[in-house]
Amino acid sequence: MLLLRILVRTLPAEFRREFGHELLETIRNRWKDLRGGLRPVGKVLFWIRQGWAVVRESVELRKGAGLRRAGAERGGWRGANRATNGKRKSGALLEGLWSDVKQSARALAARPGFTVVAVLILSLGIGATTAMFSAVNSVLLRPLPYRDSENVVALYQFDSATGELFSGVSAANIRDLQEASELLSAAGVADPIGHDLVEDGRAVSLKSWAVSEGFLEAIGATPIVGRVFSPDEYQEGAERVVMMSHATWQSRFGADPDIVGNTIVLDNAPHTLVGVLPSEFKFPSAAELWSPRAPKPWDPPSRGAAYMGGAGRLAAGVTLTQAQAEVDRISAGLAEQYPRTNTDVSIRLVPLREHLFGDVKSPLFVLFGAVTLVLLIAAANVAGLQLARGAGRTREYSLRRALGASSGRLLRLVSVDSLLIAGTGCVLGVGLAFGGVELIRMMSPSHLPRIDELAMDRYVLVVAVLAAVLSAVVSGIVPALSASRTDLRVALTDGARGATQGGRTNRLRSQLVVGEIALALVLCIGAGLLIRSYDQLLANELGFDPEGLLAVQVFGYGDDGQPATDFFQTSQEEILSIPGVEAVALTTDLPTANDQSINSIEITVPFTIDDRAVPLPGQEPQVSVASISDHYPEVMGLRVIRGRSFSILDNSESAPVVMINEALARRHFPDQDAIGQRLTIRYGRPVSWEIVGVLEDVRPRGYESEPRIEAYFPLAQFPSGSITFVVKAGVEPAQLTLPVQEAIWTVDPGQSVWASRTVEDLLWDWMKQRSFNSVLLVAFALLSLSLAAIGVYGLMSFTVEQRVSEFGIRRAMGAESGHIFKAVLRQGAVLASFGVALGLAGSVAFSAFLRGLLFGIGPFDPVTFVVLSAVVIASTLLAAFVPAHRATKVHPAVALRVE
Amino acid sequence: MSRNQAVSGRAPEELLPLTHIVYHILLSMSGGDKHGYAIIKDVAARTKGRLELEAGTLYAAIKRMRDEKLITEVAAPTGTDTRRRCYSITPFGRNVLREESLRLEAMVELARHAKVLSPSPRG
Repeated sequence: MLLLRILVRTLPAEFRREFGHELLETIRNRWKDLRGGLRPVGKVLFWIRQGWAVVRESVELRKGAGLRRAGAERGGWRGANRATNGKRKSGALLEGLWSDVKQSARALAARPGFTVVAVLILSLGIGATTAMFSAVNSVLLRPLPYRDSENVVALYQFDSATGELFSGVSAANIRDLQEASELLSAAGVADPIGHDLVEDGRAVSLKSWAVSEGFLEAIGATPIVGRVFSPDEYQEGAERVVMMSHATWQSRFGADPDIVGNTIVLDNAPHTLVGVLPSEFKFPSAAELWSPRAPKPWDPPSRGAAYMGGAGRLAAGVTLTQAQAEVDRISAGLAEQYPRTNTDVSIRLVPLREHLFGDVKSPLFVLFGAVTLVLLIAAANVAGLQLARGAGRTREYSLRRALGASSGRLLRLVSVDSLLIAGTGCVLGVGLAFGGVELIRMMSPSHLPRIDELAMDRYVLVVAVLAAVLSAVVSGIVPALSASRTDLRVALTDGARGATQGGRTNRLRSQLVVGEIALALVLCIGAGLLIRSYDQLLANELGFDPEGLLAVQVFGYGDDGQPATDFFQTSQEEILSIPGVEAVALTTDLPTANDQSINSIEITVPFTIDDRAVPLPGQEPQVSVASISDHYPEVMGLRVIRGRSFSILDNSESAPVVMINEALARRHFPDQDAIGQRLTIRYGRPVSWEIVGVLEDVRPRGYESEPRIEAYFPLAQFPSGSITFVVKAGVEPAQLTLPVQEAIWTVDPGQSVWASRTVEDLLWDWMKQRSFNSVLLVAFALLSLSLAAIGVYGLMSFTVEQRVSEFGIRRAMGAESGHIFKAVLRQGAVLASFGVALGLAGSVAFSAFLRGLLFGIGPFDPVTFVVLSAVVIASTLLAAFVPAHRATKVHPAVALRVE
Repeated sequence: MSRNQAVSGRAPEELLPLTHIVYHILLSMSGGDKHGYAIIKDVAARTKGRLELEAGTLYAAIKRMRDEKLITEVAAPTGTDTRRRCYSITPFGRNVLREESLRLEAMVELARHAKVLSPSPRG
C-alpha cells in the first residue's frame, strides 16, 4: 500500500487531487473483498496490477489519451474482436509484449557492460535481502511446533525485592501452583539431567530433561512414534521409561520405527523407550532424552533454586492477564507459607513466542531493515544507470515515437528492460542467497532459536521475487517516466544533446546518488555504533585470564549418592600427568558457564555476619557460593586481594574457612578488615565460616555481566559432585579435550563427561549474538558504501562525458588542468555534503532502533557520527577522483570533433 | 481539438470504437447510478470475474468519460456512503453505448455470415 501511495504521486496533480484519495480507498476495499480468495501468487499479482495501472495511466493522462481504443486507427476490427472476447485482462498490456522482451534482451545484450553491472548490483541486493529474510523467517515467522502454542507460557521465578528474574522455576513451587490453579490446565518443570549411556565400555552423558507430570501436557508434545508418559510412570519406583529426541533416534538408533518398547541401558539400569518426539521439539532446549520426574524429597526445601525450565498451559478462553492475576494470588499464599524461600517471590507467565524470541527479535528486525536499505541503494543505483542509458537512447526513443510508438509502448519497453534486469538479478540473487544462508548459519549464535533449521523455502522465494519486483519498480519507474516524456523536437534536432532533457536526467540522477550516499551513511553509522559497543565490552575487565584454559564438567556421585571425592582427586592427578597440562583446579561453578555446554551451577543462599544483628527470615543478604580446590585462584589468574588462598591444610578435619570476593567485602565490610570475620551461611546446616581471604571480582557470565556477591568454600570442607575441572594448558587447550576424557575413563570407565570446552570459546559464546549482529551490519554497510561509490562514479563519469566539449574549450582558452579537476571534484563534494546531511538525519532515526544493542555508548555517539561521515565523504570524493582526472585529460581537439 | 468543440453537436460515432473498458463501464452504469467501487464489483460480477478493473484504470476512464460528457457526477443517493462520488450515465452516454453495441452486433453478424460463428447465439 505504501508503494502504491508513492506511485499515486506520479499521477498528474489535477487528477490526483480529484481522484487520488478515492482511488486508494477503492483499492483498499477491493483488497478486502478479494484477498481471502487469493493464493499468495494472486495476492502479489493484485498489487502488481494495481500499481501497473496507476503508472500506465499516469503516462496516458499526461498524453491526453481519449476514449477511443489506441489501436483503432491501425485496425479497429481486430481490436474490436479482441475487446469482446473477454479473455484479455487489461487493455493493451500484453499486446506485443513478447516482441518487447526480445527487443529489450537484444538491446541489453548489445551493451554487456551496463547489463552485467546492473544485474550484479541487483543480485547483490536481492541475494542479501533473501538470505536475511530466510533467517528472519526460520527464527521468527514460521509457526511454532507446539499444539495451540498461543496458550503455552514459560514460567519464571521473580524476586520483586531484588528485581531478579531467575532462569527458571523450582519444582515444589510449580507443583503447588499446579494444584492450586484453576486457570492453568497444566503446568510442570523440566529438570536438566544427564543419562549415561555405555558405548564400547565407556559412559557418555546424554543431555536430558526429567519432566514432571504436567510439563508435556502444558507444552503440547505429540510424539511422532509411540506415546507420552502415563500418570503412574511419574511415581517414584515406577518402571523406568524414556522418550528420545528425533535427532537421537536418527543418529543413535538408525530411525528404527520399531524401537518403541525396546529397552536401553541408561545409568546401569534398563529403561523402556516409549516414544520419539518430533524434530522441532526443543523446549526448554534441545536434548537427547526425556524421562519422567517423580517429586523428590529435596524439592520442598529447594524452593529458592529456580533453575528448572517451567511451562504452563492456559485453560481454554483464559487470558494471560487473568492467569497471571491468579498465579500472583497463589504466589502470595506461598510467600506466607514459606517465608524463608518465598518472600517477595512471584511467578511470571511469559508467552512462548516472547520467551523464545524476546532477545533476538529486535536485532533480527534491525538487520532486515538494514538489508532492505541495501536493496534500495542497489535499485537506486540501477535506476541511475538506466537513466544514463536512457539519456543516451533519447534519440532512439524519439525515432520510435516519430514512427508511431505511443508513449505507453515506450514506457513498456523501458519497464521490460527493468524487469529483465531484475529478473536475471533475482535468479542470481537467489543463488547468492544460498551462499548467504550458509554464511549466516555458520556465524549465527547457537542460542538463536531454530537457526539450525535455517533453509530456503517457498516463502523466502516469494520474498526474493518481491524484492526483484520492488527493485524493478524503483529502478524502472524514474527512467520510464523520463523516457515517456521525451520531447520529439528537442531530441531530433541535430546536434542537440537535449539540454533540458539532459539537465532533468542529471538532476534526477544526482538526487538518486544523494539518496544512496545518505542510506549508506545510515548503515555505516549503525555498523560503527555496534563495533564501538563491541570494543567497549571487550575493554571490560573479566577479573580472570581465560587464555589457555580448558573446562571439563563432570557430575560424579558414588552409589550412596555422595560426591565421588576420591574419584575427583585421582582424576585430577591423572589429568595433571597429561603432557601439556600445566595445572589443574576444580570448581563447582565456572565463570563463563552458559548452560549450552558447561552448565552453570548457581547457588544463592542467605547468610548473616556473626556478631551483628540478625535480620528477619527472608530478609537476610544473599551470596552466591561455590566450592573450589586450593590452586583455583592461580589457575584462573585470580588475584588474592587480601589474606590468603586455601591450602591443603584446609581440609575436612580443620576449622571451616571461606574466601569472599571484593564485592562482598565492599558491601558488608566497607570500613573494616574482613579477614578474621565470620559468616554464617545457611546452605544446608548453618555453619559459621571464618573469612581468610578476599578474591578479585569476576564477571560470572561473560563481558556484559556484573560481578555478584560471592563466597568460596574449600572443596575439601564443602564437597560437591558437580565439578568442573579447569585445566591450564601449555598447548592449545582444545587439543587436550580427548586426553582429559581418556584420563577420566582411565580412573572410571563408567564415568561420563558432561561437557568440555575452552574458556575462551565459552566467552565467545556470550559474544556471539553481538558478533553476529555486528558482522552482518558491517557487511551491509560496506556493501552499501561500495554501491553508493559506484553510483557516484557512474554519475560523475557521465557528466564529464557530457561536458567534454566544455572542458575542451576551456582547455583551449587556457584553463589549467587543476582548475578543471577542482570543478569536477567540487560537484562530487556537493553530492557528498547533501548525502551526508540527509544521512545524518536518517541516522538519528535509525540509531534509536539500535539503542537496545549498544553497550557503553549512546545511539548518537558523536565520535561514530563524525568519523563515519568523514569516511563516507572520502569515499565519495575517491569515486569522483577518476572522472575528475579524466576531465583534465580532454584535448581541445576532441571537443571540436564532438561538436 | 478543444473539448468544447467536441461536445457541441457531436455524433456518438466520433467516439467509436470504444475501448472495452469504457464499454463495460457504460454498460454497468446503464443499470443505475454508481460509485467507482460499485462499478468494479459490478463489472467483475457481470463478466464472471474475467474482467477485474484496476482502480487506476477505472478512475482515469471515469475522468475521460466525464470530460467527454458520457457520464456526470451526481449527488450520492441518501443512505449510501456520501464520501464517495457517484456517477450517472448521460443521454449522450446512452447513445454512445447503443451505437457501440450496434456496431459490435453488426460485426458479430458478419462473423455468422462468414460461418466463423454458428447461426444461433447458443447453438
